[in-house]
Amino acid sequence: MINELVATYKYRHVIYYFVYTSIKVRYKRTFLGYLWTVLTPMAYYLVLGLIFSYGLKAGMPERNYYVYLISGAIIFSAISSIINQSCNIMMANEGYIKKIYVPKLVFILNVVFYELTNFILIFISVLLLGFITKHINFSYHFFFSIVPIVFLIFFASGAAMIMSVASVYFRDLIHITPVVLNAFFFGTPIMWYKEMAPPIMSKLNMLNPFYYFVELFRTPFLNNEFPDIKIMAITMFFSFIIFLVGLLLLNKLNNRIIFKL
Amino acid sequence: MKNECFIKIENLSLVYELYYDKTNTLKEYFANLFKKRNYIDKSKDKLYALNNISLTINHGERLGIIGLNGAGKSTLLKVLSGILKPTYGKVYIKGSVQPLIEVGAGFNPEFSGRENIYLNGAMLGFTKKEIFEKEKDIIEFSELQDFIDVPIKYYSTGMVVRLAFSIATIIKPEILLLDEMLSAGDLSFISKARQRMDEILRHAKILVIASHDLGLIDSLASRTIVLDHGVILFDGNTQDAIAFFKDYVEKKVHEKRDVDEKKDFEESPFIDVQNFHCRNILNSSINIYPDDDVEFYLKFKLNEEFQEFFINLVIQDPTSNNVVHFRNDYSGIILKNLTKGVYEVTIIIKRIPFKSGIYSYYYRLFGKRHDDRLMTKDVANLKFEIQGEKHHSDLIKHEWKIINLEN
Repeated sequence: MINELVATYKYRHVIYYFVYTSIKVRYKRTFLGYLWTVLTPMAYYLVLGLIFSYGLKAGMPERNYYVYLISGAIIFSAISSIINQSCNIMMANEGYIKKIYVPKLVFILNVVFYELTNFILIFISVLLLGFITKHINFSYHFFFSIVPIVFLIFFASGAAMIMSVASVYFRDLIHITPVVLNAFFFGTPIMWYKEMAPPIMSKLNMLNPFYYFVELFRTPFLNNEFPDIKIMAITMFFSFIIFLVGLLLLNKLNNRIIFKL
Repeated sequence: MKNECFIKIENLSLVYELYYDKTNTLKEYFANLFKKRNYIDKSKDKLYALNNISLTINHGERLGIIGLNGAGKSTLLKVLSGILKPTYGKVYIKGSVQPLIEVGAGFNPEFSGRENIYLNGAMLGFTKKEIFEKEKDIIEFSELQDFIDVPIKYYSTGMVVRLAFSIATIIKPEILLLDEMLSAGDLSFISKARQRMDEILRHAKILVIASHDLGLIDSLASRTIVLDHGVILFDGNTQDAIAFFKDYVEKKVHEKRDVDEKKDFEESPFIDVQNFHCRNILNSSINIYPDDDVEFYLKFKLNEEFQEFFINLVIQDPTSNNVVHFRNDYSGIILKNLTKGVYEVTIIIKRIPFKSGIYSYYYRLFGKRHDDRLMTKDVANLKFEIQGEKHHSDLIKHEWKIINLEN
């Protein structure tokens, strides 16, 4: 298990070049270039915010709802897009896996860090959007965001390890996963307030990892305060557990994946 | 000595699991679970690609690996390079290992040449510093200066091969693993590449090379092992190993021939193969060298009249690719209304353009009777060997013309 981590560290440049080049290539030959990394999410969330907080109004407290929705949505989509893509990792890299030795965790971390970089760019752009539209005021509490992001790396890597290995054995997961993640999106209090839902939803959400991430991430922006220490402890706990389970699973099946591709 | 390299393999087995159930969908998995269907005979589904191999390769040794297809040559190299992990047993390696197993594994078509140098270099396990230092050298060697910042998807195949070769050979490893694909002979069309290969070969403290090309093995390896079905049959100096291997193949062909003939006789009693051989007509012996004239002879008897008749001769190279397919009607000889009796067929290939190695060939006889029923007869799994080292470019008659049109 440690071996895989050590080997991955040795191949860390692969991840760096992959993420760096992928992002570079994405905006190649566009007029605005890197500006798109910030502009696209900004435009997206501007539209989303306008529709939800001004168009629908839906009985939500206006000003806060905008921040509430977007902060929840971006952290959710960061995790869900990693898990979504992870199902295909081994199949997509079959050519490499069969021809040269590269630790399999490298391919998984390629996806994790690519999406993480995307997330950070989106994060920066919605922060700017928030400042421009005066929906948020700067507060030192914002620096707390680093904590859920660190947990996210562990949680998402662990989940990606589990899903990428499991998908090799059960290819159906590639099709099932997006549906399940969609259900999570509507089941997690991102678009709606916890208080609005029947108590059963709150109970169910106690078992929902996304709920903790969303809570942990958005509290500093919403109320300019630090989140509940209990929520933080729980998030930390299951993030490391998932990471460990993922690592164990990958380690157990590492040498057999090649025969199943 | 401190810098001594070695490879030590102890009781290595590698088992391929052949999945009969290939449970790749959840539905099937659950279906199998509920039905308690147990059609997986565990013992049957395991293929020992390598079976209890022990081998020590010492500093300075050049080891050749020969064997028929599926003998485990590539598997052994893959284990040494870390792609496959031993199922049982241990492998100890001291020294930096660099396989030249596949050219161009790991190119991303969207990335430019330069970006791929970095990504591919990192994937091959080079350090950032190593790649950075060698970047210029790689670009220069591949002669892609003008295209290095263009995405690879716009490259021609030749350009991709050049780039891949330049990256893969930039580091001179202590332990070099060579598989068929990149054997020196295949790259001789670029003399520069050949030079670099020689340099790397000289530099390598241990060389392990697997090839069907016995001439190549003979010229590169001092010690050779013969593999068959994952077992080492012979381990010793190269000449002896090659002699052993030829003998072994010969024996195998005979066994096969006996079995095949018995089987085929019952299947198509109307065509009866009586005799065949393949020989060098320059000296009427079975020793064939590149560029010799070779005769393929077949004698068969028809116990029935045939309306139409076709004779095929297919030759496969040492890697089992069909290289030659002759058919009488393709060559303008139409066989119609054949009567019962004995026939002799002689096909002569003038100046045979093959390099050294063991080639297999088979005849397929194919006839249409008057009642429109088709009859076939195969004479399969025959072998002949070409000896001596020569390259394709020497063997194929060709002419060059280079004209400078402008300036």
